[in-house]
Amino acid sequence: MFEKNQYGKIAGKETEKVNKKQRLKKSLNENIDTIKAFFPNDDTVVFREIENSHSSFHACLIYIDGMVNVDILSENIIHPIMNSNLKAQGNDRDMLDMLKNKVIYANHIKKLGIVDEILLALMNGDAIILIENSDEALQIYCKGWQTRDLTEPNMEKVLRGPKEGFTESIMVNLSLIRRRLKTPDLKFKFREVGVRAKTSICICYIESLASDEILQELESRLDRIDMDGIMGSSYIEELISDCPLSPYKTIGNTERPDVVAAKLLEGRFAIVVDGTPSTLTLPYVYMEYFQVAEDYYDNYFYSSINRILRCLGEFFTTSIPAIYVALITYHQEMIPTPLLLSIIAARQNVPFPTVVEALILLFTFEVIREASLRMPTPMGQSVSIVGALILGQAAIEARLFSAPMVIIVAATGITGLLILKLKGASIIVRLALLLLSAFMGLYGYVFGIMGAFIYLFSMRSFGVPYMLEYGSINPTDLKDTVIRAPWWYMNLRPKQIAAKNVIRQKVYKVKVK
Amino acid sequence: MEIEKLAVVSGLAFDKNGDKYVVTSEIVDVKGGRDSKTSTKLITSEGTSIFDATRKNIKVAGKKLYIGHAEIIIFSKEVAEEGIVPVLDWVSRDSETRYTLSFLVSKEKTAKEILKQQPMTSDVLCFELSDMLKAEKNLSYASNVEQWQFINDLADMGVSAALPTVDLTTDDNKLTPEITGTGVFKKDKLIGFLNGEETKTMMFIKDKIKGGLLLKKEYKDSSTTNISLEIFSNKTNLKPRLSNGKITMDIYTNTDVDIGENGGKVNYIEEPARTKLKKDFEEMLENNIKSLVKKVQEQYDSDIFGFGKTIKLNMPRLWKQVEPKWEQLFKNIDVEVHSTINIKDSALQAKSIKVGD
Repeated sequence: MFEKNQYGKIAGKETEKVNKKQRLKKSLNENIDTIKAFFPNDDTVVFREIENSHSSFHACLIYIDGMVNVDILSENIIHPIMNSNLKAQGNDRDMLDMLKNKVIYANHIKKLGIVDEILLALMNGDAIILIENSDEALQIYCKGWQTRDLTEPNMEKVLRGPKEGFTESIMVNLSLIRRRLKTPDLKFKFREVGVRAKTSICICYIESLASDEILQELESRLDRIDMDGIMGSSYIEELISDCPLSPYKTIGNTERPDVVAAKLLEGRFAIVVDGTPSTLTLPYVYMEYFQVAEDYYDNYFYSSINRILRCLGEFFTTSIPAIYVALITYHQEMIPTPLLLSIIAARQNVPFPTVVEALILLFTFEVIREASLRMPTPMGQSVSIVGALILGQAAIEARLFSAPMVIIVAATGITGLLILKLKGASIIVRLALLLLSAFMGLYGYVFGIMGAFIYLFSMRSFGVPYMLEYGSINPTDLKDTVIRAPWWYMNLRPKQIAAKNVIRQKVYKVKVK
Repeated sequence: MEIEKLAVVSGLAFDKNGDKYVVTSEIVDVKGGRDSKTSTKLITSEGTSIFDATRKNIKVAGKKLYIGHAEIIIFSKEVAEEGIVPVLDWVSRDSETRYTLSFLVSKEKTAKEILKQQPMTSDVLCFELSDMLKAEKNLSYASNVEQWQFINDLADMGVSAALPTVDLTTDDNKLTPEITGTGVFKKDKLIGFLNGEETKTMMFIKDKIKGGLLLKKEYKDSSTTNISLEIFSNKTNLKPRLSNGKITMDIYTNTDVDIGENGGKVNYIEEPARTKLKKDFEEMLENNIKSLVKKVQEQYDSDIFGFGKTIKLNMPRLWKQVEPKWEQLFKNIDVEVHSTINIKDSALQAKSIKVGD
């Protein structure tokens, strides 16, 4: 049922030089030296020695500057240790417990003994307390680094709807999801991925809706990841995807918590990755390219019109150059006579054949698009002026390109901006259809379309067919595809994804007067 | 084939020069740039056959002639009188020519003269001729025959073909083409012409009327009145009848009209005048039809009305007997006409313009 990636492990990969089983010793100074050996000349790691005012108690507080909340340190840890009445207990084990249970005001404390775990805790932003005559240390949760404000993600803006977006901290992101789904069924499963980076990721799902087989398969694929580090969610996406060679995604991503919550309610899985606001959702089907969060927050007529616009936009952006070239070069009898005469007039003395003109202009459009994406704002203006003037006016007047071709490429570019998620795939499909129709006319175009559809229909995303609701004429399936049916019609969840529990709501009849 | 290397042909004219065929093509020449101008050129070439002549165009023209958008082909009288099949074969066989091409027969000496004139309302003469043919449905002085229709009529046993004719007329001291009337074919040779009014009556019989006028002049009390009825729709039924070994064709026409013009004092909406008007016009139409059928039977002896086809459809057994002798039989067919005219309304005014003092 699942397609597995064929990539195996490379033999002879070296791992870190850390002995995973090294434990603390009983001597405070030896432990301090052990840990100091890992951070030579590193001023970010602070070793703060504390003494108690009522007894001869020594402790050492270790933390990494900039990653801890210093208020908690000084008020909740250093202040009680220094000032409370610590009588020396007989057993050092009891001293640690007394600190943990009675002295330190912290909301979460853990005991650690392995050096590896202590280092990981330090790097996660927690503070470590080492005391004399104990081979265990205390880990106090006091993370407090700078996080970004919750702002609306740039690429997924809505006019009417929540404007919160994910940030780079995994705990904040998970809290945003938890707030929207206050059910005990919502499960979080934490993992660490990446040998050197040890990035935390979290798999979220609603247990009574999500499929167990997909969960098993997902976990087995995540187990196989053996990279150094995960800097962004796209690393994971490429490593666990079903069709790694395809330009079409089988795993979606989003930066909005409300979108993630809605997808979880349909029985999907979400993977939240620490360090990036972009979360993955799987399984992902072709229809989701055309769905935008705003569709569900606005009137359903308007949303349906927008959806149809997007579907048509996808068709136009891949097909317009191909159809134009095919008609002009091979099937001139299909064009109405006045249009034919206008195009002949416009193409007088143009040196390139139509295909070459199309390829050059499409390339130029992509260059302008990519360049203006990376440029700082003051220079962005000059790029648009250059593009408009040079392409629009000068090239046509110099008889290098014809005006109809510039119009065609502009239309292609603008319709391509309707669905940004598909831009990579659109470029490839557009180029392939253009070349096919340049060699074989409309026959080539039709064969190209058939080939593209055969390819799309053969794809699967975690066992779910990629074109899930595409070919069905069953009205229950079509309610959320090309149109957005009103909420009182959407009684069932998508079938293969929420296989356990398909009924979304009881049938809700509206009396229309 | 890149599009700017094509010379778009808008129409062709076929002539005969002694033993050779002369093909004239009208090419649309578009100048590019900011203000595009459309102008036309004529290219003539001779050859032993039509296909040969069109190929020889390459001797003169630099671009390939593209006939996929041509709309008109004009045959000269001479070519049509000698038999149109040799000329028509290439047009029907070639893959580029559209089967919706309209045919015309030129009443002038050659067909090329028609193409030489300047168009009146548009830039390209042949597109203008095609527009004129399409607008004929409002006048019904000529019927628009397309290539597929013409070839079907040639092949059918019970119908003879007919094509609209074009000639030159002077308008403001300038010669300009005018489409009016029909050319009558027998088998595949042109044998005669009908004028505009007769063509209208012919279209009545063939059930091809979609618009036009019925006119009458009345002389009463030393004043003449013009009454025009505008035709909105017409339905003609042809029913053959066999009585005493003689075939009679019953023609029933049912026309919906509007009083378009009433230049007199009589109010034709009121009852007695209206019925009389109706009767008058019906009689006029019936007489027109009878006299046209007689004329065609005696003068041309060619079944352009499709009587044979009607007999084939309605009385197939009779047709089987009659078919070999149809050419002689056509002369002796009697015709009985029953016309009905329904006056629907009279446009904006019920009464005619009042003249006070």
